[in-house]
Amino acid sequence: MANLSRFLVRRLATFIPTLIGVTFMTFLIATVVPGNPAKLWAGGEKASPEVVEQIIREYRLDRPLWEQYFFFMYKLLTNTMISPVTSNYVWDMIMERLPVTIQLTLLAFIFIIILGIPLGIISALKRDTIIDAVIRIMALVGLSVPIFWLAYLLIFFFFTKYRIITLAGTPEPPYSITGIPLIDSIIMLDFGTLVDVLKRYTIPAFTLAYPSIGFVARLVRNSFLDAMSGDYVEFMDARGLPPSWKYRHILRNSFIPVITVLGLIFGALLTGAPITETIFGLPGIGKFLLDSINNYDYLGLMGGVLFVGIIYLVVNLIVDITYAIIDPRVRY
Amino acid sequence: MSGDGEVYEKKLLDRLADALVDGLASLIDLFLSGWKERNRARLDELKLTLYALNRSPIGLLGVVLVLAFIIVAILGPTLAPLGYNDQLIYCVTDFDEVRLAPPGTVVVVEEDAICTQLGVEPGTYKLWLGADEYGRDLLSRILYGARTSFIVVLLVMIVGPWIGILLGLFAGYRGGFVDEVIMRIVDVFLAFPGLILAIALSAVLPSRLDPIIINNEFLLNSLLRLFALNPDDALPMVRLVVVVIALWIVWWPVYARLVRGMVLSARENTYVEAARALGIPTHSILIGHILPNILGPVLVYLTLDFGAVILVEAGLSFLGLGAVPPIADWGRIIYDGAQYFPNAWWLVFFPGLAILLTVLGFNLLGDALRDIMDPRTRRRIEFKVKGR
Amino acid sequence: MECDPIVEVKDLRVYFYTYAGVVKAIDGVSFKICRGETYCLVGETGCGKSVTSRAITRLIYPPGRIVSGEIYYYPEPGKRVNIMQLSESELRRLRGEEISYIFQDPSAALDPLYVLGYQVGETMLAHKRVKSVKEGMRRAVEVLRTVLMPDPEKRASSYPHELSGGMKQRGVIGISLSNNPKLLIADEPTTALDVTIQAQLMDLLLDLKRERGLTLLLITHNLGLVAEYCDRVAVMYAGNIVEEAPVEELFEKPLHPYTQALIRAVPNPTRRIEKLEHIPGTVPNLVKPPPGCRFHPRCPKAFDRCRVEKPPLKEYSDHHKAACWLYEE
Repeated sequence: MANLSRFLVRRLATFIPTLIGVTFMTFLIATVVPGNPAKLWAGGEKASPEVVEQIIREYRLDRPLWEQYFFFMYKLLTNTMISPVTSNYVWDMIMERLPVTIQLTLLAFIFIIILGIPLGIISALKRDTIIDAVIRIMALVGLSVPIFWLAYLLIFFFFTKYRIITLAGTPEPPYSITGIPLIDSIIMLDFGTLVDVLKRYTIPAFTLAYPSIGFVARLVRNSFLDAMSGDYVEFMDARGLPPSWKYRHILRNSFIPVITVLGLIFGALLTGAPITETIFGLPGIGKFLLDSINNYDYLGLMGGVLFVGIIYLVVNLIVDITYAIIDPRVRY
Repeated sequence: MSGDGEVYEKKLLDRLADALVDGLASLIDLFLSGWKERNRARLDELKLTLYALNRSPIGLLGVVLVLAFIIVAILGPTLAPLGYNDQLIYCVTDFDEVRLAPPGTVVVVEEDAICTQLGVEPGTYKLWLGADEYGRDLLSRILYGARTSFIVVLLVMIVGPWIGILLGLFAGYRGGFVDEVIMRIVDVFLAFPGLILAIALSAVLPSRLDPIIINNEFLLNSLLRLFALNPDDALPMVRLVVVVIALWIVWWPVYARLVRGMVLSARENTYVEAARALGIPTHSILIGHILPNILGPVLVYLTLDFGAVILVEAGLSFLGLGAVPPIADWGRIIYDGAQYFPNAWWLVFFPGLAILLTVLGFNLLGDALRDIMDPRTRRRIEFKVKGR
Repeated sequence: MECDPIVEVKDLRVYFYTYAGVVKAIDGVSFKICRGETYCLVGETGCGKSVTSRAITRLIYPPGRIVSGEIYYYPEPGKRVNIMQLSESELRRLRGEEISYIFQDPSAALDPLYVLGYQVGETMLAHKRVKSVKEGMRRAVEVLRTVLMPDPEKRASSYPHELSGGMKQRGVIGISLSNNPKLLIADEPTTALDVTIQAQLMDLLLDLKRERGLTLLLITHNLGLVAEYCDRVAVMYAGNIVEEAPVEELFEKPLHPYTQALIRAVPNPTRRIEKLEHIPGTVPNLVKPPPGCRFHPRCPKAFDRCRVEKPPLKEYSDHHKAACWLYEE
């Protein structure tokens, strides 16, 4: 355990500079790179000089860069930053979008797990057969499919043709426990709402999950085969361990990389899905970023990108720590 | 046990591979005499890789798709029956005849002043894949779109990853403070999901970069030729260039991390230590000794990333952040066609299929190469089970 | 000296079915290991000595297959077990409980995710020496003590990567001996380790062998180890045994030209030599092995018969067998 805490200290030592780097880069993207943000915020070329002047003063755009940086970060992180375009608190706007993204993430993740892992194991057990080849090609197709294209095919089938799903609105139950309708409706045993949620979210979630399903299947297959071909397997045979014990060792060894990648996929899902959300009209984090861009709301963009970066970093951190807990080799 | 040249019985494709490798090597040998002899072992290894590829149906399918894409990208604009922006609605009397015409529609273009001005020759055209809302031939636009995709991915891949590879080589070899700084910067870039970073950059970069690119006449003209665009479309093209630059920024960090890791393990190798002991300067050790030895795995990543870049570029265009009208771009065609979905399904279906097949080609090839390059599977290729 | 066999192998053939063709890794090998002795298999890398040792308990994975041959195990004098006819579960009981292995690379042999004590304990549990993993882990400390593991309590709860190479190999030996097998097969047990640790570990193996009345099958390419530790030696070349003799006899009067070359290729500290000799040529391709004697392409004394007819392994003097036409006349 001493090793583990040493690992944690080391890992945090890289986490904090990276986090600061992320805030700095977000700041650069949203204010320095666009050149003249005040003018854009005020409405571009047709902006009146007075408004531009006011924005410059209000957002301290005339101050040195480092001061701007601290000002923006302080206001964003304390949720006192108001977007000049929408006149809302930036952080509130993001939080409003979060339930949609979380529901998409959860459902997509379920698809990835219940399809990706079994397909991978089948593929490994039937290695070098037709089944393995088919799963391999399916996986590669999954990684090659433009998901906006897949989305339209699915819409055509499930909406235009059979009307199984809905494409408008977001189901909101009258109660709120966690604020996430999918979870709340299960807690309240409100199957009406649950069905509504599923009708609205299942196909987008599947679209979003599709590339990862094949990816996870391939990974499970390869790490299972790797674990099975390790020399320690031969030694387990040589010391006469029963097959079921052997497979326990193999499974545990093969699941380490899988768990890591699943964690990273979960993190990536949580950062929003711009394309999927756009096509299905779901107001999640990804759509928020695009909306901010389209509205020239660079503060919204900054908040959104910062949120995404932090989420992704934190999930990465959690994954690394989990990895260290399940794989003793990592905490040297 | 046996692992020598006798493993494979040479087939036609193998002999083709031999000829290709030997031919190229002889060509280089003309300029750098002795090169062929010095790299004999490496060339044999390359041949073995090609033989193994010849025995992988997946890899061969990938090669076919990739070659098809490259050929279409090069010849597409010449082969296309119509230009990418030939709006046939101005060339026919009843404009509903060609507006959103379904696949297979035949259009007769008569001698017409406006039409000729637009550059459409009179004649009979069959719209194999249908037309969009301006009566533009979808097949022609997809052929031009191949060129757009190809040039974008080429421009991204000949710069982006190599920034990362060079920085990774440098960081891994120097170690210490330099390494630490470079890797922390890499961490920051990798803290954002690629697509999101690409979206943000494509949105904010234009206001800085547009003026710079537009004022560079030479760059603009060369790019117009590369993209096979009409000179009038220089402005819309600038957006594609911005996407390329955004993708450079997105695509270098992965390679920096990858290559640095490989350099760290390569450094421990005897041949590097020997080179260092002989007093060979750092840059020649890096370029001459380490780079060639890590190129195999890097090549696999590069191949797979050709597909990934095409996909991301199409995604950006689909979101309205990449190509803008009237440029023929697969993602953009879908974006513009989607509003007529599902009635004009062809506007979504065919460009999507083109993306799928192209990206699939790179992925199949990359996957097969990964199998071949992996030392463990490489052994398996040599010792493949026949019985049981 | 009468031989009371513990293992008897007759005309063993192990082939690997590969892209390249059928690799005849072991092609007609016969030998006996006597109870209580240290029997050595020597030869160059790839000569089939490891495959032979694994085939004794049918530890051959595809693409390899035991094509033919008989393998007998004698748990006690007069009692014979036909290994080729054992079921999977009987084989499992045999492995680890009667015949144990030590492999070359201890880092690869241990599961990196479990502490050493667990891996000792589960081996004992698999053979019902203990009732639970917990008891097994307690007993593991004693086992580790018998293999002279420093600080066995601590090491039992260490992960493999926390141990040095020598400690790992001690752990592997502990696992292998935890169920008191009668035959220990050590496949290059010290090759992956530092030279300083090699001697310690070999001495440990010899001590354990003496204490427990074990029989030891030692596979090595190191003639120094052979000279020091073995009773009888079989020299393998390209999937065949070319010579078998008591160790002194082998070094004094090697019969087979390959053995002679092998011995000449090793520096002898007692004799001053100008130049080390090497054996010309390379190990043959086992997909299409040379006809006749497999060594003839590299043999300085080869004559016509060697090129067409394969010499049988025949006894030429007391307990000294060789497969060579030179001694036929």
